[in-house]
Amino acid sequence: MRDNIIRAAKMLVLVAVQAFLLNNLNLFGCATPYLYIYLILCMEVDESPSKAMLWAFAMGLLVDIFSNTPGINAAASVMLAFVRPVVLRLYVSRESLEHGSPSLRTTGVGAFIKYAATATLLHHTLLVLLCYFDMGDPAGLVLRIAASSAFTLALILMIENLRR
Amino acid sequence: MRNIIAFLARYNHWLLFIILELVSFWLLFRFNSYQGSVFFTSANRAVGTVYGWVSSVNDYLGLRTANEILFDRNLELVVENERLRTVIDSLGMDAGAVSPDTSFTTVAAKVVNNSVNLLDNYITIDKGRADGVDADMGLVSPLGVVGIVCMASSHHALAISLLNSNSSVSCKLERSGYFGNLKWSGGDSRTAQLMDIPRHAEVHVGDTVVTSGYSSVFPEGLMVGVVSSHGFSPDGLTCEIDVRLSSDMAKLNMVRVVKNKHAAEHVMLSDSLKRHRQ
Repeated sequence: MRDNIIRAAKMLVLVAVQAFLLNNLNLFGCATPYLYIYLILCMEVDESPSKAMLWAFAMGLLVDIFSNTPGINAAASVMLAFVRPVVLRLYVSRESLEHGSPSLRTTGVGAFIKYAATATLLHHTLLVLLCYFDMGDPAGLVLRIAASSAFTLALILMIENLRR
Repeated sequence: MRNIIAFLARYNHWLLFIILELVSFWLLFRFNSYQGSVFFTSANRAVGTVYGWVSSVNDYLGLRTANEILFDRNLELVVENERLRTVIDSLGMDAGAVSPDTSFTTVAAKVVNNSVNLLDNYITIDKGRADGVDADMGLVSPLGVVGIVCMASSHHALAISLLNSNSSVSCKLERSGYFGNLKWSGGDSRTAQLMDIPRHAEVHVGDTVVTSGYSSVFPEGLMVGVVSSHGFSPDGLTCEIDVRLSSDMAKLNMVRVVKNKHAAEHVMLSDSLKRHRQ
């Protein structure tokens, strides 16, 4: 119960930051960070996949309602929550991290960066494809995915570094 | 049967994944295909109110520039007004005899949320049905046309920004009178494209683009932008014109909703025409 309340509070803060601040950024005309996925990245390793997806859906839908993109952020977040355990196990073995949530401290710097980068890239790829597919400009899409992912990753690492 | 239940129990998160994704895509396609419910947008009451708070802070910070722009625009209009008055006088007519166009009225509104970096951008304003704002009304900033209202809740409304792939505004070149549709297909937030202008039309960089008044949404002659460059479409039949929008879509604050008193009549006529053709 207490964990749920804390997580809900974190979610509201992340959604507010996303809606009022980050959505208005468009660095070099192509980089918009989607920091809210930090909540999904930081879920405990033994969190049940169903619960993780429901949280991700709720958060994605909130971001969607605030940015007039119904369904897009929700779809990308649910996908991220679904594949996250697989991505995590690519870089972090079950022995080294049994409980708790992945972070710079618990998984080591290299593994965490690889995990966060892969997850961010997957999420942003689906998000940008759903958002901008009609634009019909493959180079522009790839640039937007790469630039936005780099921006998000930088923000995530910054926060992680402060928490360490 | 037991196997199916065991299978579902083991892979229930797969099922949940598929259901949640289906719901997301349903929301996405229903919204994009046509006006969905206002509830899942920033024009719903709770979200609109929160954006209202945030924007009142932003407005305060941007007051000085907004004031300067309004002052400039006001001065321009005063000069224009004087010039027209002299022209009317020189024609030997009484300016008072020219009756004003009363078919359009306006409602002042404040932009509470707006984006320019998506492919389908929307503008949320703080006026809704209770203030007489409804779908298919035009949205105009002090500097020019910015969008068309697509749905309204009781106290907020959502407008399709000019920067939306579904936006289409009937415009004309003020000098030559050739008309076409203003569209946007992503990219620069200061530039939109004027399509369907015939190839033989004479177009110059710097020509003014205004609304044509052919639809019931905008009256004729509202400022849209100026021609920044022009070329021909791939099939060579029409011109493709880049229009630099006169209003900076990234800095919208106070806008006016344009209501056409005769919109219902207009729609009825075109509907009956459609029925007649069938």
